[in-house]
Amino acid sequence: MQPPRASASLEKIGQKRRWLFFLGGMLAGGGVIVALLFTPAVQGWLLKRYIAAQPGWRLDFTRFSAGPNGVRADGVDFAMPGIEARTEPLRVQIAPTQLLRSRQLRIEKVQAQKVRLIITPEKFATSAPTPGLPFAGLLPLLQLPVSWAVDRADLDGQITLNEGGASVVVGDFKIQGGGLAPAQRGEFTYELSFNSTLLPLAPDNHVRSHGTVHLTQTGAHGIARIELNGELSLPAYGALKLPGAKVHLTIDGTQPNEGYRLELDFGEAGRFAFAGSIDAAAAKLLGTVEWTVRDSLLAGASDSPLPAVFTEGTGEVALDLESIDFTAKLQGRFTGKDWANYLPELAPVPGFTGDWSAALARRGAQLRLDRFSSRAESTDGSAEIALQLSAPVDLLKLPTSPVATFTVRGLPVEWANPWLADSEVSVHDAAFSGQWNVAIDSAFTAHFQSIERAQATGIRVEGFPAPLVNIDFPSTATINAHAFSLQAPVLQIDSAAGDKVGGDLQLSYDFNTEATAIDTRMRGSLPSLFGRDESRPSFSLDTRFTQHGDALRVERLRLELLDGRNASPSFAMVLHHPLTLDMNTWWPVGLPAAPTELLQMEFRAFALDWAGQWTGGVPVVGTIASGGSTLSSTAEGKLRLDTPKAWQTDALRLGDPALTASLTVRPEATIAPAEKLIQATFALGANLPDWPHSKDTFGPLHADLQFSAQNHGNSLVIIDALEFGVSQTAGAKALVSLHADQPFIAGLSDSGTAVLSTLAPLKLSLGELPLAWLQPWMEGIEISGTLAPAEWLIASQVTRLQLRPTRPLAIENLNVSSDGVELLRQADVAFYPGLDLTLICTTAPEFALGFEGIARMDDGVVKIAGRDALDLDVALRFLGDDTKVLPAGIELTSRARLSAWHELAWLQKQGLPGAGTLVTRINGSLLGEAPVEFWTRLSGVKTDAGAELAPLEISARGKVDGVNRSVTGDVQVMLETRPQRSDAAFAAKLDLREANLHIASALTSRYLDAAAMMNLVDAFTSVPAAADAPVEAVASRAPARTTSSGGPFWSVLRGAFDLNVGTVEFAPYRIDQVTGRLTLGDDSAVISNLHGAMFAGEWSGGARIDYVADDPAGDHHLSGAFNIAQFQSARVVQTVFPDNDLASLDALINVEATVAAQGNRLPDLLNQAEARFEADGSQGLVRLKVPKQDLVATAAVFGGTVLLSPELRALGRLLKKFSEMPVETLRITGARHRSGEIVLDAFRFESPQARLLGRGQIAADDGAPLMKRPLMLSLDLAAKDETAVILGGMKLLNKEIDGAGFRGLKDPLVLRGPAGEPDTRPLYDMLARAVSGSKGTWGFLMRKVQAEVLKAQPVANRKTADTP
Amino acid sequence: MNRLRLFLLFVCSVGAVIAAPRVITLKGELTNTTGDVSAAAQLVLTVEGENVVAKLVTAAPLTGTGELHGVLEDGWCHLRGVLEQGITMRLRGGLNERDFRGTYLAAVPGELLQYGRFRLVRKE
Repeated sequence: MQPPRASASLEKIGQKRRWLFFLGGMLAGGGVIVALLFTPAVQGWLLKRYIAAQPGWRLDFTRFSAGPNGVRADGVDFAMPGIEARTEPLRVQIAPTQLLRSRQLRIEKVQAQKVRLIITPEKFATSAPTPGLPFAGLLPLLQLPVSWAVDRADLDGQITLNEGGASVVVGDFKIQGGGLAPAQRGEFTYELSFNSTLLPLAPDNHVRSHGTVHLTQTGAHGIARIELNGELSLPAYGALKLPGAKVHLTIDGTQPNEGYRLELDFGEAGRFAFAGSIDAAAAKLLGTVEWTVRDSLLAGASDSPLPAVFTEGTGEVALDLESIDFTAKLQGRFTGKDWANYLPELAPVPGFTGDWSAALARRGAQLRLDRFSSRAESTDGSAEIALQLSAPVDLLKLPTSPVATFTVRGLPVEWANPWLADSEVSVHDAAFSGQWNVAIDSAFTAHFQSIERAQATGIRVEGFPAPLVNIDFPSTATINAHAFSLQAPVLQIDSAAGDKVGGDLQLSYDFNTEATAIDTRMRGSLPSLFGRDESRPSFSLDTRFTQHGDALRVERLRLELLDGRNASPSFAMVLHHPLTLDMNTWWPVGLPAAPTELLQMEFRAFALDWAGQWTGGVPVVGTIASGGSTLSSTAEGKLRLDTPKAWQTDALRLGDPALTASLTVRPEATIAPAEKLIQATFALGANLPDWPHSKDTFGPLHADLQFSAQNHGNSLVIIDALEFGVSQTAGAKALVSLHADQPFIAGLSDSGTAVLSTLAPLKLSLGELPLAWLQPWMEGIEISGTLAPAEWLIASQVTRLQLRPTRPLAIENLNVSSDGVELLRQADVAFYPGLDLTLICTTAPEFALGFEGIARMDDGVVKIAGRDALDLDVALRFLGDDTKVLPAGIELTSRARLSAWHELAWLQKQGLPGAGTLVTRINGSLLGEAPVEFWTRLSGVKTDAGAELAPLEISARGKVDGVNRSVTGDVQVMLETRPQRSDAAFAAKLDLREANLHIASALTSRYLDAAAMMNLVDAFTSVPAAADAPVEAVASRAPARTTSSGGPFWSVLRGAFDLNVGTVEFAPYRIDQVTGRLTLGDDSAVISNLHGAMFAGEWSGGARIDYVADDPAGDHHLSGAFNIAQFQSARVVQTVFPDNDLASLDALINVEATVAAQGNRLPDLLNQAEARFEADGSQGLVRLKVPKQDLVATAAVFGGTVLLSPELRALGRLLKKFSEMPVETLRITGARHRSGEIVLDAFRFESPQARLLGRGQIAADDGAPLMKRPLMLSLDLAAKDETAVILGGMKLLNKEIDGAGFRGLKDPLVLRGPAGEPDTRPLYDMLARAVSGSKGTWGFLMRKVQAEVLKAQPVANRKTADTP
Repeated sequence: MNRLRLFLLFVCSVGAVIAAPRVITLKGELTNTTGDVSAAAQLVLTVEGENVVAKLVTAAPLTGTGELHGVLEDGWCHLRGVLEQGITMRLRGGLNERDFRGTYLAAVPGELLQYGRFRLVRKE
């Protein structure tokens, strides 16, 4: 038993226990709850409940655990409107204190791997964050109930974009970053790589992007703004490789309407931008698009450059967010030019500019194109292309009726010319127009049906003699991704010339197989091709052929030509069996196994009159009377061309006047397609008419050509036999023949080079040809002679051809005259012409010709009237192409014998000497890469008197300037004068265009023998004679010298240059150190600043010669002035008369002379010069001596003293006076007349005791030096002082004394003899007469003196002196 | 009589001196233009009056040796002969104080005529 207190206590104890139990229970319950809360299941349940509280949100996972610092979840399956995400595992590290203290979910780190994110955009709109409210955008969906922040996120996984229940985009993503908080913009980096069903299947067709994403929170724990900036690289779309782009995406929720802006920037290549916003009330996304695209954006799509294209557009887009329907109004403009960048043949196409507009809408299952129009116009305004939608069309359900019209206007036909370039035909001056209805069927095949006939009017054709052509045809055409076909059921082609062709044409082309089929039937007449008369043929062509790959199959062919005179075709070609050709080789393939006749061709009175317009205006009349050939296959798989009926012309007449000929042609061949071998024989026989102007020479001719050949490969032919000949009559000896003894190969090598190779040389023969046949072509020239038979061998190795004569090419009895002048008479010409030629001729990719070679003429001989006139060897190297031939080098050696050429009167008149040999050599390059040398030697030339002149050599060495067509080099001239050679050297430029030789340097010389040079010039100087004067008269240099020279005597010499000559000698005179300047122009030659030293005096002067064409008095006008200052006259006497000791003038004399002349030649100018001269002397002595002067004078004085003879003493003193008379004044004036006579107008000599005044003349004596010409000098001698006393004492003087104190001689004294050595004997005769009374010693002395004087004089003078 | 003998001896001696042959040595190059091949060559001319005997030696690849005969008149020189190799040679050209240039023909038995040119420089 227990006491009550115990009960109360127990009650108290019971209450306490209940409280304890309660508290314990509470604690236990709390602990259980807390424990439960810490259990993953409870936590996961709570989280799911919480997530599910968001409309449309769902969360599930396979395992969930949460701790104080974070959460870990596996198998997370999350869904929100439009987004599903699955991840495993997901680790989220949060800051719980933040959650408890600040009610902020701070995610310090979220890490998820292999996240699978599925986005379904169409569910966005059905997921308003608040039920009943319209969809306002993406960002309102991203909102949490508590404040939240993400310090760091590290996510990777896969993203899928679904549309229509299918995945259209699948990609991988990786996101890292953080720092996102309510007041802090978070920054994340992303990498994204995805592919799409919109992209073609390819190993690497991923779109890749990376960049940064910035997120900004709203104050309501949502996302206010997403801003993405990154790089975008797009995969290749087929050949299209787009450049990288910058991508910028902004989703902006800060405005009432959530805004979107997307921009793709491809730099210069293009740009796309969308800007829009959501109209929540209307549940629409409204926006605008704009873009620009340049050709560079698509540059990667083509291997070749693209045309310059630019397009830009704008549009307005409205997307219904509930129905996904949309409307778009788009418009733009575009430009395009430089089409040739893409395809060279498009070069003629100008630039285009255009615009377009469209209205597109999606309405449920319809994609409607409500409006579309596009129009483009060429920049020159000539052409227009337009496509216009006829009515709204559902692109997803296209009607079979036409939906649009396609129009082209004014497309110039010239645009087609590049495609016709190979044919060398071009079309001009017309434009192509047409209009078609366009329908597109469900298979996306476009059908074009003509509304307006396609036509081009007035097409002018160049390169082909066609009239203006019109083309007109209605057409239907279809085109789709696989094929194009064109049907022109009524094709009409006509021209202003009456050509009319009609028919139908069907053409199809398969884009996949690239097979083409053409089926046409044409019929018409082409008078512009076949003539207008009744014989003009009309034609009918019925053919079908297909081309597939390399195979061209002619399935049907029938061509007939009918002329107006016969009912049956005059020409027919019919294909009896389809024939397939390999278009690469044009060999037939797939021949029938059994022998089959494939093709038949037949002529029946086929008129050729129409061919006249194709023969350069040469009329053609005649017919192919008959002929038939067949092409058959054989059992051996070969083709056989047979000509059972040779093609025979009938009354073929060519030209006007008509040349009648008849031809017989028989072509036959065997073609082995398997071996690609053709063996053919060809026989041609032609009866040719008289060649032009050959009626009296050759008469009618007959030509035969026979050869058999076979091909070797595709482009080489082996000619097994060749025989060609032209003869006067059939079977007669050939005038021209070509014969091959052995086979030879000709054609094109694999590289496309023309080749010719012979096993044995071909033989080319030329029969005897009278040169009179050439007469009609030799206008103004009469020619006769005979070309003797000639023969060459022609050998070739690939591209190196050799032509060798087997006998000389000889022309016998050649006579050539021009305008009555006999240029060549009785000449025989013979030489060996040969040729080495390397010929490079290619035909592909385009024709090109290049060649080089050497043409030779060896052992050339010209004989005139049987006398050797010329020996000649020439080797001319040349090169060229199809446009030009250039001489490249020359080796020439010739020897001309002047005596034979002298037989020709016209050369005589040109001054060609009658004797001499001219050897000439020219060697070197004519292109300037090496020097060219010229050397010539002239020897054996004789003067009229028969004296042989010194040989002359001229050598030159220079380089050719091909551009300026000139030769520049050094020239050396050498005349083998004796004892010293004459020489001259200078640099010169030979201008081949102006045919002038410009002397380009000083002319230097050590020595010039002017006399020898003058002799040489004189030998080559023509002496014009009266028309009827005999040659002998010409040679005698009759004075009839008025024939015009035809040009300045300095001929082609030009330039201005200095003279620097050591010595110029004109024996016996010489001038040393000659300098001056010579200027040679077209019409004048001026020699100026002449200086030199002559007889110790200073010689100077200048002269000019003007050429005045057609001056009847002489076309060369000379004027000049010379002077010699202070020359020593004694040097003259000593030089001219070195042995003279009878008389001398030793004084310093100045000479002034002017000269003028007019004539046609240089010798005329010199011989016919008129001159005036004036000589003044002083400071000298005149010596008049007798031999042994001193002895005689002493003897006379002594004798006179002994004999007491005053006369004898006077004579002795006089002789002493005469032996040395001082010169006070010496003045001579005079003139040289045209005749050569020299007249001394005044001769005045004064010394202290004697004075001579005189007049006289030196007679003309052509050819004699001045000092040796006859002199007649009448002197009045006066004396004074002692001399007067002496002579007065000898009673020789008058008694009158003049004012100067002189007394004159009673009789004038006349001196004769050579001008330089006057005969002083009359003086002594006069003295002798003065003492004639003296006998004995005086007489003895005077006879002695006279004898010595006579003995001292030259024999010639003695004879002169003896002459009365 | 002795005087006559002496006179004749003198005249013959003078004649012998005057007519002594002149030797011209030339060296240079021959180019076969048909085959576009060149070779060194030497030509020694022995000139007596207008008559010339020439010794021609050409090096490979136009190897040949032989004696040619011809004339030299006023610089015009024409030589012809058969070389030891059986080749008939014909040279024509102009000879001056510096060189001898011209063209030649070479006839090889059984072949077409070969064309060529030469330039030989005096080595006196």
